[in-house]
Amino acid sequence: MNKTLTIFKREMKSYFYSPLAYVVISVFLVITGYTFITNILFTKTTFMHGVFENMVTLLIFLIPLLTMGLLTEERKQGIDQLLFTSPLGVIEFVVGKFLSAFVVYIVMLMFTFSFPAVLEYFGTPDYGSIISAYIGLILVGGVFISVGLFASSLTESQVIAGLISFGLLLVLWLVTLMKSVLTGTIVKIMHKIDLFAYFSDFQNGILDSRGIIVYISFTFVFLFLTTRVIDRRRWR
Amino acid sequence: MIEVKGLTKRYGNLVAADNLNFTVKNGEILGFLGPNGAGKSTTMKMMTGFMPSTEGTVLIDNLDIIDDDRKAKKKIGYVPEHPPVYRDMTVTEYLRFVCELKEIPKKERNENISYAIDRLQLQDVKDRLIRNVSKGYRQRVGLAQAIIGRPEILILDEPTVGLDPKQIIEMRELIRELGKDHTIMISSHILFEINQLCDRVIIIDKGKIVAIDSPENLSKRLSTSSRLSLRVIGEKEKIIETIKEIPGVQSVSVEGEIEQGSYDYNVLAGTDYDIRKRLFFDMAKVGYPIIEMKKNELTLEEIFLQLTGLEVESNEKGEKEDE
Repeated sequence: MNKTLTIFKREMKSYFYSPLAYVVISVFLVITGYTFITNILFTKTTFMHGVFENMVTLLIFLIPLLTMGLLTEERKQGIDQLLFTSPLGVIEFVVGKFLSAFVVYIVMLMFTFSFPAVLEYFGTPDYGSIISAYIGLILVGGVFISVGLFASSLTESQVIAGLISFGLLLVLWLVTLMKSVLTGTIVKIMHKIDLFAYFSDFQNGILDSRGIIVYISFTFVFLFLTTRVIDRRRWR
Repeated sequence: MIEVKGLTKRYGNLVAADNLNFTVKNGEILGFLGPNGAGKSTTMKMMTGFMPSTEGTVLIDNLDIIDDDRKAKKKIGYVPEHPPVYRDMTVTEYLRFVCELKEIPKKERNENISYAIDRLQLQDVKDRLIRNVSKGYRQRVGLAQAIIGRPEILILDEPTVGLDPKQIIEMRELIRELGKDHTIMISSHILFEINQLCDRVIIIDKGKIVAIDSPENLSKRLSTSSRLSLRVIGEKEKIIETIKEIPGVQSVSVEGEIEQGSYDYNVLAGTDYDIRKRLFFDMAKVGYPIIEMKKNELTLEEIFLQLTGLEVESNEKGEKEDE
């Protein structure tokens, strides 16, 4: 497992040596900051509902940017030939990659802790719902990153990987919207896997074990698929 | 040391490597020669465990590269065709990463890194980003990566491709130097290079082994006739006539007039005959001075063509003889 750390450290360096992490974090903060300010000015309350919901929507666009290059670049430059002729397991490799994007994401979220701090200064925010919303955000981020990582394993092109993960996340998002239109057993399934509906629970302060399990399962499934794709490509 | 048994790789209908059997002996430099697309890289990728084979096994010191991969992989340093380097790391950072990847104990890492840097003369660039160093240095960083952990075996896939002539010479020097304490397998499509560096050569074409032998033996085995280049002053027809009278001469051809008044000739003779002495005296007799004479050994280039390109012809002949 210490080679997970090796992969993780290298990936963190490349995130912060390149402008990518800074750009993604900045864009995220500018837009969420804007919604936070307008939200407070309009409602004059200490609720952060709109802000968190907006964050999740924004992640559909930003997470693919973070993850699209994770697996494509090494393949394109032939570095995978070094990695997989070394004593390195595919699982260690994928987990290392996942963790690096996940940590960048957590750092990004940590900057938004300033929002509750502002609320604290002017009033008394409901910390229960804020904390559970953050837990939800962390879990949703895990799902999105694993989807992005999976997309990145499919191709050698960053752009295509970005588009695929963006597309997959959009499909998951559409599930929420299509629910009200469709009928029958499909809707039942859709209700079960509707990531965004579970998130409303989290932001209302409900730590629903179903939501937690669904998020974690999604993450594991996509990470597993990623390891399968990498393995299969070599065995072909 | 390395045993390759019945190694086969199929991509659908395409057979990239077809039932390859050979061994790499301890301490030797083995050349792996073939035109582009012959299956050299595919074979090497299977030998290093990057890619599993469709059939057949590769044993590294009796360890299977697939079943015992972690142990077996530690014994091999592999340099792919394009150096597998991260462009956004400095040379030292990169080598440290490789140390961790190859499970070098913490205490030995610094020593391993400085060894690799010394051995490949990377002192000048060790703190520079790999993206900023020249192609020649990048190739060397690729080699440095391979000797981290001092593996017994080095597998180098076309290590001189894309270098300028000076760098190529330096790279060959380095490989020869490394050959003193490593078993090396090196692939190339440049015959001269293999000829210079290697103790044994495997020639492959279209995924099949065409020949395995030492470079010298290959030349001997294949040259059924020896060749002389001549430059003689005098009348063309008469000279040809005279040469043809010498026993053992198979054919004479005129290459053209390069120096004024003289012609260049190519003379083919059986290997059992040395016609040079006779040629000299005969020419002296008729009064035409030989101003140049050179014996041409068959080059690896020609061997290669004979083994690969002309193989079809010899097969056809064989069949006719059978009839």
